[in-house]
Amino acid sequence: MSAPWWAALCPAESRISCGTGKHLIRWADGQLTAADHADAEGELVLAALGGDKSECVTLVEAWGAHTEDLDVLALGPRSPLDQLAVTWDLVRSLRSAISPQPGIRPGQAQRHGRLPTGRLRPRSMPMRQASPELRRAQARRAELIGLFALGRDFQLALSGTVAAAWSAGPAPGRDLAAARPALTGALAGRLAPAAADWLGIDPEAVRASLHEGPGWGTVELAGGTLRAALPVHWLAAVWAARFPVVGGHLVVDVLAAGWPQAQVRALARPGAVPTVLSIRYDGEHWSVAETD
Amino acid sequence: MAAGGTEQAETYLRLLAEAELRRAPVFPGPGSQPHRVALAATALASADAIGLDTAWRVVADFQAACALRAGDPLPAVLSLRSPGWQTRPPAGLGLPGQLAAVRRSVATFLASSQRPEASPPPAAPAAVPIGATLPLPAEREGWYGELQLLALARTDTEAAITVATRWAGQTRRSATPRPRHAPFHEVAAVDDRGVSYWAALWDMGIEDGREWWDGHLGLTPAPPDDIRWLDIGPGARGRYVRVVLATPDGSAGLATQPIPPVAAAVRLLDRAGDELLAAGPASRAAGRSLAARVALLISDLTRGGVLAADDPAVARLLGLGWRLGVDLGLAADGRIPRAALPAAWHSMLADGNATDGPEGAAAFAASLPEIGGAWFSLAGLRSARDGATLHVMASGWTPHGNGWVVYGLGPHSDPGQLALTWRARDSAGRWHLVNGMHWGSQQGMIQLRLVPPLHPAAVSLEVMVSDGTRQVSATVPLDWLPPGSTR
Repeated sequence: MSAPWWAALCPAESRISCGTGKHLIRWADGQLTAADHADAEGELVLAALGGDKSECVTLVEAWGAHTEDLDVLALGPRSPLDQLAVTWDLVRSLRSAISPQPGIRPGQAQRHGRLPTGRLRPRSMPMRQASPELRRAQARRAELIGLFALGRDFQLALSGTVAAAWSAGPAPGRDLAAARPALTGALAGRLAPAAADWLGIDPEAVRASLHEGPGWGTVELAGGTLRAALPVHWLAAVWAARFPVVGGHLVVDVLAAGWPQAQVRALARPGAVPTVLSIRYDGEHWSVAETD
Repeated sequence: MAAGGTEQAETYLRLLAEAELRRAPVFPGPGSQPHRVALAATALASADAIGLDTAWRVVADFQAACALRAGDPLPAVLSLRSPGWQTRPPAGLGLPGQLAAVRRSVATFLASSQRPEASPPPAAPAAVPIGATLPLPAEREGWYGELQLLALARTDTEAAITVATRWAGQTRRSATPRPRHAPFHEVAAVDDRGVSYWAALWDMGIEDGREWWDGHLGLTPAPPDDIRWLDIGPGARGRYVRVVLATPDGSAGLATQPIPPVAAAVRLLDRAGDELLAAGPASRAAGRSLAARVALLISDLTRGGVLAADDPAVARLLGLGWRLGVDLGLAADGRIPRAALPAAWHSMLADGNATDGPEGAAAFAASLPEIGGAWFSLAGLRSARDGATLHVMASGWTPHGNGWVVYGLGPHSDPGQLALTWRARDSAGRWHLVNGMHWGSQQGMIQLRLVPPLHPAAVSLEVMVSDGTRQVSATVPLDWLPPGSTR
């Protein structure tokens, strides 16, 4: 049995403001957990019944709502140099801007002489009444940006989660045919900088397509153009694990893994037969431990 | 529909967005220089290669991704606001009209942050010719002007008299030069029942010392249907010009005919050729030269799988580019047979630089049959040596956004040009294309700038409007109204 897609991904932790304290959010083994909430599921049930919902539990719930969301791949990072400039301050400002506050106009204080919680609505925010559908979409987008604010490790883990879901085959609510252009874009946007780095070519010379048959795909170089067909699973198991290129090889598949090491199938050059490599994370980057 | 399928077109657009995101994570924003993804999305949506919702979605994703990298997440959320066409199809329009409206809407959305507003069901305008000159009293330093009244166009709710005006002379010897602004003298209209209407000058253009200004008098309120005449004035010495509303509008020259169906992408490229000829390859479009914009359009349609690189429409444009000495970014040779280019293009290539147009105004009126969900009344024309200004009242065709926003290909901000194609041919066989379209009032009045100028021997003009499935046309007489005369 092959390794789960997340087996080579670095576990991630982040502390967030929750209630009056700073609580730990952890992603490991493919799951996001609120480490300081012993009964997060119970809290969710209580919240559904009208109780308060903590920030930690809100995030865990949001993570679950975006595990198949292609927006994650459309907005998320593409390469190590591609950084999202999302902070918790920006997220709080954003939530304040889109939260409906009936009867309150910008700059107008609430009753009892208190300012509304959070920041005032930015001037650029259109005051036209948004439809319920639009408000839901905006809230969902703000929720996703909140997940991105957890940091890069979480961004990669969430991207991998989405890619893994879409590579798992047909499922209710997943129209692979309709999603193929978005998935192709997601693959190309992440493969191009990695492959360019691998071969020292322009990222624009990389042509990526989805490989949907058996096997790991193909990678060929012709006329200065690299044509690569890789499965969506590559995004989850290889790219999200941060080792698309290791030791001068393009990693195309993961055979076995257990953080911080993995056995992978990799290409020394385009068109070559894949080599099996053992790779290891040394605290800064992945490197080849041995070649089979 | 794209030859390569909608999936190929959307994939191309998404790959383009990825490349743009790598290249420039901070996008310039909507406006006069729409970003590359918006331009490609506009092209593919206008060519029916992808759905409007898909075009919107990819552009919104791209803008949101840029916003997140710029540390400004608010646009990443606001870009979710879908364009108005999704929820408000125009009422009472047939399929061509709906397509025209959604194309206008997507162009508006993709190139501007503004949403199109809801418009009432359109009413067909009517027009009557006037053909009279109202002398104006002296203004500054004794300079006096004249107002040539060309035609009255109106709907149930709007009315306008198209005019051409100039400074006609000076009452006393003076060294002062002719004013650089248009003559301005307030006039009004009074009908046969003694009811008065405010007449405000619109669209007179800038103060640039030109010989003639074109514009219209917007009448408020719009006169009712059952009046017989209107007196316009007072001019010099209290003079009025009478407009008889029963005058026939020359509808004998109207025609409607089906045209061979062509793909929307082909129409786009043919229109691009029109624009290259009318405005010139060096004119500006969407923040770049028109030739560069057309090259992008060809690239988007061919690489998006909408048209093959050797499609006849691509070859035509290539041939035109070769004749104009313009690089359209294609490797193929543009020396294609002469017969492959439409007659209008040959005419433009031959006479595009002519400056032999007759100087004068023609007072005619003709209401075209419905086309693309809109109605147009032709309401007079002024001819000059280098071109002609055709006045049109539009109904069911609402300009959206700001005048400075550049839509589509051309230097003019006309979203409607995505749906309708205007051409004209005079009786001497010279073709004319639109190189500028201007509007600026609530009356729905449009000024079309036709180039090259009318042939000196022309006695009539056929104006043609097509929406890709039909062409409507009207042939109007060119009876020149000399300055200072009354018909």
